[in-house]
Amino acid sequence: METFKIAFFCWESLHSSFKVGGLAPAATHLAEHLARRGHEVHFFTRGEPGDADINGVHYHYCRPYGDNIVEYCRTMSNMLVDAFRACDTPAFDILHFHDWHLVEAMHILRDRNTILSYHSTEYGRHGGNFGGWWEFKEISGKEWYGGYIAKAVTTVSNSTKTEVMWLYNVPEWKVTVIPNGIDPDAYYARVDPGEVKKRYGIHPLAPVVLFVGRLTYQKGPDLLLQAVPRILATRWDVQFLFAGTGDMRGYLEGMAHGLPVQFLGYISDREHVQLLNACDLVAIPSRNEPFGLVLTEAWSAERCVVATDVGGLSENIDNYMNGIKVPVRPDSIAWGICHLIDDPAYMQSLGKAGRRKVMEKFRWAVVTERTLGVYRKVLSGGP
Amino acid sequence: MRGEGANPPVVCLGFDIHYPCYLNPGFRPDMVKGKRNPKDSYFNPEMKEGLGRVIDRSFRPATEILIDLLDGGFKCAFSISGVMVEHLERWYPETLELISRAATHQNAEVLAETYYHSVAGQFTDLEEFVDELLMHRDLMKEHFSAVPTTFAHTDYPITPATAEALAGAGIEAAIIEGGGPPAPERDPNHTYTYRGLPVLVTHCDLADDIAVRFPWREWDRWPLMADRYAKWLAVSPGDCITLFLDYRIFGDVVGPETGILEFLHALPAALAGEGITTVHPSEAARIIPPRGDIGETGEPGGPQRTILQQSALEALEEAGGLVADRAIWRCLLETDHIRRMAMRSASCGKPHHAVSHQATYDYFTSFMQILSHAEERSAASTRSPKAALSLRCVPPDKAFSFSSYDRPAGYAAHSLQELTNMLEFTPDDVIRYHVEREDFYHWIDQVIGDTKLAEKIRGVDDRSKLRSTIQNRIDRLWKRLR
Repeated sequence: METFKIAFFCWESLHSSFKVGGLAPAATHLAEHLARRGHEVHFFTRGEPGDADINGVHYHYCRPYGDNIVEYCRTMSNMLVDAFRACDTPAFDILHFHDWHLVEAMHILRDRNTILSYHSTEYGRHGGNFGGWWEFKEISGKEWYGGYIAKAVTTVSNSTKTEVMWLYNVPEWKVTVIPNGIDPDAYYARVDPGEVKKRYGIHPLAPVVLFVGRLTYQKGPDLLLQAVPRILATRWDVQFLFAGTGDMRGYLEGMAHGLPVQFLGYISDREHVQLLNACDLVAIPSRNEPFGLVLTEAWSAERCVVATDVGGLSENIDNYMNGIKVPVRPDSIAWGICHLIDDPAYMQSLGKAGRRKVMEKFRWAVVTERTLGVYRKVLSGGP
Repeated sequence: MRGEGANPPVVCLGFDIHYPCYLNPGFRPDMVKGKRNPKDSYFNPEMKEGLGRVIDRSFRPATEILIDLLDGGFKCAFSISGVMVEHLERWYPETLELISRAATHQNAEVLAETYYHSVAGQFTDLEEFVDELLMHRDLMKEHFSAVPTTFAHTDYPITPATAEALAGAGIEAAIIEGGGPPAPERDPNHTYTYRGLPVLVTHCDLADDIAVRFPWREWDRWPLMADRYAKWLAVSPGDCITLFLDYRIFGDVVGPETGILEFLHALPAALAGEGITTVHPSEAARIIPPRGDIGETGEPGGPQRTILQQSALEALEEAGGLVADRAIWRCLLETDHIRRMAMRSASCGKPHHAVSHQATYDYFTSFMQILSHAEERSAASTRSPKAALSLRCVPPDKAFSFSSYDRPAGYAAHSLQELTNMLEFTPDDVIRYHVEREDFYHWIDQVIGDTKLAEKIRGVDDRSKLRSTIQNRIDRLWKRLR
């Protein structure tokens, strides 16, 4: 099998000191899985200057500066293009860009075999709203331009595909949907749910609903919180845990006064896995979700989900087979949770069906193979 | 779906013949005043009449049909509880005679179960479980001259402890409920072993087609006819379909006007038409090679109990040493009581009664009121009435509800033992809140009535000190009773 020399451009990775969002694990794991198959992968990103080889991937770091996010990304692009040129002999086969931050580097290298992956859009990150401020317009412009010059485009779901086709006029032939991958075993652990619940002061037999994610408008924690009293009206012993933090936290804590809700703030990976495997149900009340990694994480732990019928969640959940999809409304979320919470056996069977789907469609082996398919298509020169 | 030419599975059909001892939902302690036997106030006083109605609607016609079918070569199994036999013997001997004709038929198998159709298998101490198993065996020998070897373990999940107890008591196979661990998630239609004990897994969906959906006109398969049902069974993948149904389904829970009795009558011919043979559970367990052991899957034990069920089961086990009248305690062991404290959508062949959370809570309240009252009444005749009173459980309105400054913690203790158990995990701010308000002191002093312990823990705010003080006191109180 032929091997490729691949350059990744992504402004964050798991192996640098910069604050990590959802993009970092997606790009890092993909790079590592490509390297594991014998491809030569160079990862151009931010970090303490210097190079490093980690898990088979060659990292090239830079330290950008700038007065605002757009300026900052411009210096980062220039620095990374320099780093790229330094190791461009023999020439790279594939240049894979992740999100808009390095579109200026892509502009400089636009004659090469470039691929742009949209992990989300600026519109989507604002909960499906247009912003009138200049950064919004600048970033949207870069997202448009990236899609225009790239030889191929990938999105994490069909809804993001439709979104970029609608927002940026990217032609359909250019776009391939490749979901985010996951390592299911990293999220599955055999724990005694009762013991884990006790650690949070919760009765070992109380049903626990878990929310994982940033406490921001996009993720809809406020919708779940508004659903809580409605759920308690029919089932008094349900407890709610919110893991993660964000700009809505203060507001949510005020709203949760007197309710069986705990805000755990940032939690470690280990705690995350324990909670996933101990909770009874995972709620995903997002207003916009390009993919929804929380979904495949919950499924990996054989948990069932109640999720809003948006974006990647809408596409990937088979209603009543491996989860329940509800409209983006507190009363609908409450209905979904009440529908499941009384029936532990049913919840277990939905969770197990979810895990089967992960093994089938979202494992890294599957996702890496599909990414390579896009690379081959670009290299063969045709759509 | 199976391919052309494959053999259809065999079918094991079991009937659970039992009439539960219902609680008297309107029970109030003042109803017992001046009565020598409180049993009539605790439990449905019209049990005889209720059972009579069930016999007329269901037991008699269904048994008559089954005897006919058994004569025709159809095979099935009966699980008849000990209390059921007692009641029939006392009130309806002719019905016992009839059931006995069916049970002793050469094509019928008698199953083992607990004498009181009880939850004793869920206790930490399985003494009562084994006692009831042996009592039931003796009764079956006496009435039906049969020694049952297959145990109907369908009301709560099998555990390593119950499997061991069953094997130790000479049980050779068990029927367990599908639809949740430890039963395999899919493929119930095989035989398995659970830690060496052969088990058959009931098919919940197919059972509920009869038990729940049969009379339901909105069902897209209504009306269900025997030949169509037989077709479903014939195309089910696997070797062996096990159905275990509450006998009252046939004519009582699902009324005769729905055609359920005609369905039962037509079933064997329809099964034969599809080439399906009926076998006894013990036979299936013996001849069909097990597909694997399901005892080591490590699944945390079965469909989860609710908090209310847990409180009730704990109180019930403790009550074994506190309620003087064994008969009353054993009526409270009835599985139906615990089942009514939770909602469940799949019923696996039992009458469906998921109503509302209010109803489950009300049932729990009645149950705890009766249990608490029975313990209080028994206290006087114990060696140390004061100790017995301190160890008793209390109904929900007197329970200790944990709370913090701004919200309830979501659980309540109904006895000293439950209080120490909950002190293990209740958050620090909850303990602080109650210590500041002296709630522990007041509850132990005024509700439980243990002044000595109350004084001891007054002002103690250290979790482990609180727990060890209360636990030591509990241990000492038990010693006084023995």
